[in-house]
Amino acid sequence: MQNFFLITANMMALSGLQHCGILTARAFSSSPTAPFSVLHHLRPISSSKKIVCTCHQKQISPRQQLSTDGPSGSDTAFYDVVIVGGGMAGGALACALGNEAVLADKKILLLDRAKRPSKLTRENLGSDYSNRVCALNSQSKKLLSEIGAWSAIENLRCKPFHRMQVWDACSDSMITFNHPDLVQELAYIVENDVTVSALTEQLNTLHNVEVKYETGLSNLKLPMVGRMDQNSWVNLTLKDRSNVTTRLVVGADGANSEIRKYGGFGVTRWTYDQSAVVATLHLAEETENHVAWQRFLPTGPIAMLPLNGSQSSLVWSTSHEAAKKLVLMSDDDFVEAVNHAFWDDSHHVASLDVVSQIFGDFLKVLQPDDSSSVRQLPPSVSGIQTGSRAKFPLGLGHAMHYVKPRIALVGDAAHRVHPLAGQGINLGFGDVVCLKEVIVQSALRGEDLGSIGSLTEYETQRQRHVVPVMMVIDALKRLYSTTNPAAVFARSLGLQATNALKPLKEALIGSASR
Amino acid sequence: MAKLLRGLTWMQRRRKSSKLVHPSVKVQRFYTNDTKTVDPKEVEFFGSEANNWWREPNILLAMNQTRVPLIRDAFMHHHIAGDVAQSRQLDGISILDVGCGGGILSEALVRLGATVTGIDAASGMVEAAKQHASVDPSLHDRLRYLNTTSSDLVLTEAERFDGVVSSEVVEHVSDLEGFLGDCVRLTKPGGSIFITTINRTWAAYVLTIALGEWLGPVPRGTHRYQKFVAPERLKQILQENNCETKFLRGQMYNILTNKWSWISNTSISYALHAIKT
Repeated sequence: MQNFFLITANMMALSGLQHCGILTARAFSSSPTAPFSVLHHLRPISSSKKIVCTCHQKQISPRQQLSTDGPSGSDTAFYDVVIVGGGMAGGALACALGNEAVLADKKILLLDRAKRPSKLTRENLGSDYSNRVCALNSQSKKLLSEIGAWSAIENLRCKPFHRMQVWDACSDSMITFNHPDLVQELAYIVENDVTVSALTEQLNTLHNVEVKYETGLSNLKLPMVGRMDQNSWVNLTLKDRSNVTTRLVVGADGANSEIRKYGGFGVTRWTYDQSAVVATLHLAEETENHVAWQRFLPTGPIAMLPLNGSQSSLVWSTSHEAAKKLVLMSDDDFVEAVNHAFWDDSHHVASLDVVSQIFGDFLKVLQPDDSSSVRQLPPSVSGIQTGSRAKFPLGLGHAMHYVKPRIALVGDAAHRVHPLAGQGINLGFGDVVCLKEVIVQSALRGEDLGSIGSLTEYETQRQRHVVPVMMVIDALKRLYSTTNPAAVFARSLGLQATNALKPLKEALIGSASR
Repeated sequence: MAKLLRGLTWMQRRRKSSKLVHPSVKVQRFYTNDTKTVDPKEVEFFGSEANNWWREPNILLAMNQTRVPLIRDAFMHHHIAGDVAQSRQLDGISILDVGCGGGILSEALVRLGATVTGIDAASGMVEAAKQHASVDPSLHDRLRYLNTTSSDLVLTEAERFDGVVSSEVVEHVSDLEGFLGDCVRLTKPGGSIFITTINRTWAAYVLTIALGEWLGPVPRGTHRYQKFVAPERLKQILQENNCETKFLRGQMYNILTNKWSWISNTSISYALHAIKT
């Protein structure tokens, strides 16, 4: 989804955002020795939310210790970079590093706990779609093209969409995003399995990248800083009892990152009282299906992302109880519930309709009417792919720091967001681009790749981008979770106003594509 | 006596040594007989700084951001044809790092593919440099450290090196002309000489000594104003040694971001590249 979370300039909810733990001093000054923000100890507004601030907690693993051993044995393999986590972010980073001519003499290792993914082809994909998809923006597409994985994705399957419509269940306000004349795509819907398969194929061609599947981590010894001996490297003990030493370990192992725990990174996180229900839907009629739809219900946003002319992917964030019911009910009841969610107007605030009508007329005077402000109707759903329903809980997470000496975090290990804006993987790919660039610059200067001096550049740049995005996504989630008339009023008029301001929308599209 | 003194700070040592040893007695603490270009007080000072040489955040390590690209690009431009965006760009180039200290610059150049000899008059420094490099597999070949001086090395390895680097050293030597002459003699004809140092201006005094040492991270006693060298003087001496200056630019350190960057003003810190004709 595009960056419509910057929709309203009058985001009153932002002032309610007291979970300032995600702001660190380091985000806004690039001093490597800047102190931690003192704000992260503020209490949350609502005591029903679970806030966990673990910035000063002790190391999780009792076995994790600073090594005082002598030089390690000669049978310990030494790598320049070890990436833990073979998902989309980890795989993309491995490909990006392996692709760089400057790093041709470096040794890179990718560790993945899962089995080697089987190669996907058009033939073995079949007609069923996976229920886990992502909306990849133009920057992510650019990264995947540069590492040579995009053509494989296009050959398998992906669906570009040109327009997005977002509207409120409590009023008539809506906003649409598209490039002029619908020529350029806004983003691409790609199944996660397809992305991973394309990355795996690319990894096989890189001579300086080694991949170990079905390899978990049993221990990690942090480097001793300030001395230079064998213990100044990171030492990883794998589940098969072998040891690996490296200059730089990158944690790309997801929201429950082990590397983040071993590294003792403080993290601010809370769970939302929502779960996301995913499914693959069959549409009632075949259309061009190049529009992504999202409706904000008071219980949470429901989104339909196009997969092909007659199928779409569903991501419905709702309360835990509702999610449980949705996953257990029959297919027909589920289809009924989805259609009801998109079409039902019972939450409308009547008085607001009048006001928004007047406001809309006023805006039409300022800004001439054009096709983008015409409300389109979402397609209705006729069926659901069997066995495609699943749910997972939602939360927010942000590591206080993204780097420590010889450790870096990318993707969900560093930051976890609500799926309402479709930014999760795009932020992760943004991390990959930035970290790769920092490592390349470091190598061009003959530096020791894991030295903290250059790694802090990555953290500074990424936190400057990610923290505001996360705040706005969180704020949007809260703003649209309420039926309080005042909030509904403000957000509806704000949304209408933003929809009328073309330059603002173009800026939003631009910033979300980065 | 040397061991006892090493444990104290520079100021304390100065006070102590003035009580025990008459100032007219020249103290020699290293094996070579050469006192021409090397200042023994400087050698002693830096020998004691060896343990702290690699600690981060580190101004000299950060200076690699400017001086390594300077050296790399100078060789790519004048000596090798090739793309900077490749690994081991300086493959086949031999470089001498005079006054290598703990090896901060030497290690970076080795990683770029060069064959590097690092020399330093302070044995403590050379030991620290060897120890630091010994644990890094990327530095196991193409790097050697010698506890010697440039005037001693000239006797055995004259005109042996494609490039001679003397970074943050000329402001510590006692005989500048002799030292630069040695450096030029060690360079092959057509080879490159790189010097980074501090200018002899009041601005440099304020920033590097007053702010840098009294208030900042630089250890006290590192620099003495009388030894700062103006770029014109360097250029002149190099000219007398048949070296043509190709590059001269100022550089500036931002203490908040720990970054060095190039500036046009050479009045504080500057870098110079000359080619021996």
